[in-house]
Amino acid sequence: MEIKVENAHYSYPGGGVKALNGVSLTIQPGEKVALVGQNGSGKSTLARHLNGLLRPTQGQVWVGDWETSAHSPAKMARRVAYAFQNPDEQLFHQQVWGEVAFGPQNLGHSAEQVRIQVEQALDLFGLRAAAKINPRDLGYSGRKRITLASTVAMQTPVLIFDEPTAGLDANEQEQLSQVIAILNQQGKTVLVISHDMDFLTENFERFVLLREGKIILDAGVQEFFSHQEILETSGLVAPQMIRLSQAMGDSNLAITPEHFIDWI
Amino acid sequence: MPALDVSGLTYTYPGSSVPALKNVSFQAESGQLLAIVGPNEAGKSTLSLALAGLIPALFHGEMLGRVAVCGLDTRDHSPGDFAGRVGLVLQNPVNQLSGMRYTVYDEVAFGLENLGIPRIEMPGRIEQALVQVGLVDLRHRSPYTLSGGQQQRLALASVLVMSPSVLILDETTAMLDPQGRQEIFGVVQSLAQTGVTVIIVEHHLEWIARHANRVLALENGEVILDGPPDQVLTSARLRKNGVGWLRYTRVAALGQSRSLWPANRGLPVTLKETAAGFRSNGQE
Repeated sequence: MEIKVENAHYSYPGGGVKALNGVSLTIQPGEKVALVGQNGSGKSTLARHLNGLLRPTQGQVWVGDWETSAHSPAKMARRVAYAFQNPDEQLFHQQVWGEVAFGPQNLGHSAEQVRIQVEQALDLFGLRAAAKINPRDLGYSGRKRITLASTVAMQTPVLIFDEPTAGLDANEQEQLSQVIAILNQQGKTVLVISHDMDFLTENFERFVLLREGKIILDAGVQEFFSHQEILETSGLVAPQMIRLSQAMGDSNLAITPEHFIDWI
Repeated sequence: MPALDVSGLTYTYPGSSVPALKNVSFQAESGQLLAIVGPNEAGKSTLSLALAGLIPALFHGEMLGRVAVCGLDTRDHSPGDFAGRVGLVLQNPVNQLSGMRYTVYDEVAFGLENLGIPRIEMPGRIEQALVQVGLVDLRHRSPYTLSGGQQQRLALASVLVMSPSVLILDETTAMLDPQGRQEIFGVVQSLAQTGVTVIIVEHHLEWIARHANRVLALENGEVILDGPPDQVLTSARLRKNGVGWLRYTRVAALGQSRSLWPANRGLPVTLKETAAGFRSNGQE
């Protein structure tokens, strides 16, 4: 499902600063896009326009043939699922199962369909055994993975993850990489907001850099990281393998250790 | 006297049959920057609570062994006794703010007021703490209008103002952007240089590799490794257990398997060592 943002502007109520200042962006169905930039650059504000939680004060945002201003956030949730950065802002249910089932139930899916979707999502994150326990009894990464599973369970064509790797250990990050690959194979569009450049380069193809509510760079991963000056002034640190390539004076920028070894 | 002395620490939460910490022993000297790594649920946060004296004071459950902070046994003293000696900063600053102060300045003052520090001494200490974390210009703002990074620096200032000898940071940078993280790390490095003992639970291995003096690895509540970063972070056990390896270490190990990494070199944990190793292959 195509996403189209057309010259979107947005200011938070009472705030003088423009959180979005003329953003235009088209995302093709099935793309994997990383939104990067410093805190306060407008990443979350932009992402919240895509699921209709925020509506532009000027300009338009389209998800497929729906213009977000014309639809309630509840309806937009049929197309765009969003996992917040802080799981504690999202969790409310007494049981993991109920938490993950809440989304698909509200989309009006049948009980049987909900069961299948919840089980699939729990399995993807290795949470099936935790189905009956209270999310609050899990550690931070467990709660985080519940919110990710809740998002996946909705089976929407577009998914947005806000800082999904924060607090996850290396094995849990690997699990998330596999989930993203599966979602991509299913043709879903995956957007992620993250500062974790190592994770992003290994899992996402397109990088969109925001600064002060504007897109200042939108490129494929290798081109993106060749713009060293822009990255530095935006406070971004390139991932380890790209820095290694640059330190070795290699014009090819490696994405993974395997790439680096193949090119050396 | 070591700043921290932990011996045979075993702790089991109430209602649990499995200990969260098993026979943990180590000492930390003043000025040491000691990083604690481990997969999730390894016991890192439990250890942080025990080092801060909150276990056993506020958490029931069974504690065996001994934790001494600046020579004081945590079983014999209340958290108040540790207020000027050990400080703990948590992952989510919102959980740490008092919720009772309208400005950054007053939030930092809160702890001093509770210790009954003379009023005349307070402005200087508050000022110094705000300078250390770079929040001087935001002193009149409400804590709740700050960004995540600023809130975390405020939480740190509220602890630093108490002049602790031991500072414990439990995934303090997990919610911050790289700039916010560097701000916290910068403060931490300078504190260690002034003799504060810093215990930092952290997932950011690249920073640990460059700045920690020592790394303690936990797994299932036990200390499995304790040594300098280049030894601990390249151990085969960490690669599998959820801590993972830095990409630098991984790329060198991959190079090693294809004779692209010098046979006489250990695995690296920094960019500099990695680049040097690959450059020198065949020349050493």
